[in-house]
Amino acid sequence: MGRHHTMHRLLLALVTGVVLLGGSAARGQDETTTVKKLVRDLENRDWDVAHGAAEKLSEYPRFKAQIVPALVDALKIREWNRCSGDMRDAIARTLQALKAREAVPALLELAASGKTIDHECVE
Amino acid sequence: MTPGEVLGERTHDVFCERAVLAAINELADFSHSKAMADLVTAGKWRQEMLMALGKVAPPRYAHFIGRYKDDADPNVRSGVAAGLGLIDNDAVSIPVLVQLLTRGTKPDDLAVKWQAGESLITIGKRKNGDTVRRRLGDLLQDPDRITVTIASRALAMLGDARGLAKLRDLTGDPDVRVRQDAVLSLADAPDTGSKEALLRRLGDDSLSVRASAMHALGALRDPSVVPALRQALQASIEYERELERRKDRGESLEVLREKYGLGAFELRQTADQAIAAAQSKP
Repeated sequence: MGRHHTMHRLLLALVTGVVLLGGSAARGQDETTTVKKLVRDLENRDWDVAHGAAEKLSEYPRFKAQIVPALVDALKIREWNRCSGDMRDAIARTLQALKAREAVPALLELAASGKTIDHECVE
Repeated sequence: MTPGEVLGERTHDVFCERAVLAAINELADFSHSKAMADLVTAGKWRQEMLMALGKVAPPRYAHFIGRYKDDADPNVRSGVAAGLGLIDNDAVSIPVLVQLLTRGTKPDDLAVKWQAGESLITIGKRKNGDTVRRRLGDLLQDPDRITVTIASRALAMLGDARGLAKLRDLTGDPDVRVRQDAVLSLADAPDTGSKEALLRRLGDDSLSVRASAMHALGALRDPSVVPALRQALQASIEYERELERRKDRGESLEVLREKYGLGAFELRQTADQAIAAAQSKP
């Protein structure tokens, strides 16, 4: 009776573990997909889409290795249909939140470029 | 507007308006010094980059930062003052900061002088306290009483009794700006020994000095000053009405503002904040 009970418990624990691991893997997969989409949105010329993505990316520090190069690229080459100063501001905030020291040369280059870094739309 | 807000504006974070510069200031290290110095040389974002350099650059960059102490733009000179307070090269920083503290009598110069005082406090607390206190002590004889006020405040913040004593003297100065700054400085270095001098200022000719005294008394966190604060509020509201009547009779609004502080501060808000502070636990 006792042995049967122990076996039952072990089986239950095993099933629970598998379900949890599966859930975590699925969540990881979801996050990867979300980050990929946000990085794509960053390349959008539409300011509303790109700005939302730049802000949201700060919530995924686990994906810093993929996010930072995309943000740096955006700082260097992208232009948006309006409010480019606000866009650069949002990117800089996210870089700061991600503690992306490797982005400093690009930030300095931007400061030297004469491109606007002032707020135009967002207070 | 309250005196507390005036003090808050003096410590305004120049990086809060542009996240690109804030990120550079936050993330850069000494290896970026040359690129930041190049921006300054090119005339771009001088104030911010001088501050960022002060934070991370090797000590030899103090010479580079100091080179901009005579810049025509007071914001750049403020950047010099802030940067020199951060960089580790007191042999260069202290003399330049003393120069920045003593020079200029225009309203624009006040922020530079104030920042130089702040940086001397930072250096004095970090190390070389004796050298800084000696240099500040020499400034107590300066002919410009705003300079004396800022030097006294710095001495007081460094725990030198000469600073508090001088500030208490200056609360009775004939110049309203000096009285107000001395009183506000006593709020930054709260000491029960200043109570009598501050209580006297609740009856000052200028409403801006009265409001500053309310704020400074609140900073003492001594509940025994509350009745005096309540009384001072009522008397000041009456006085404000009298000044308003004088304005209506044709007296110059500019004089009433400058000499008597008409409209400078929200009296009730100032008194409420001071009473709340006085009743809070030290």
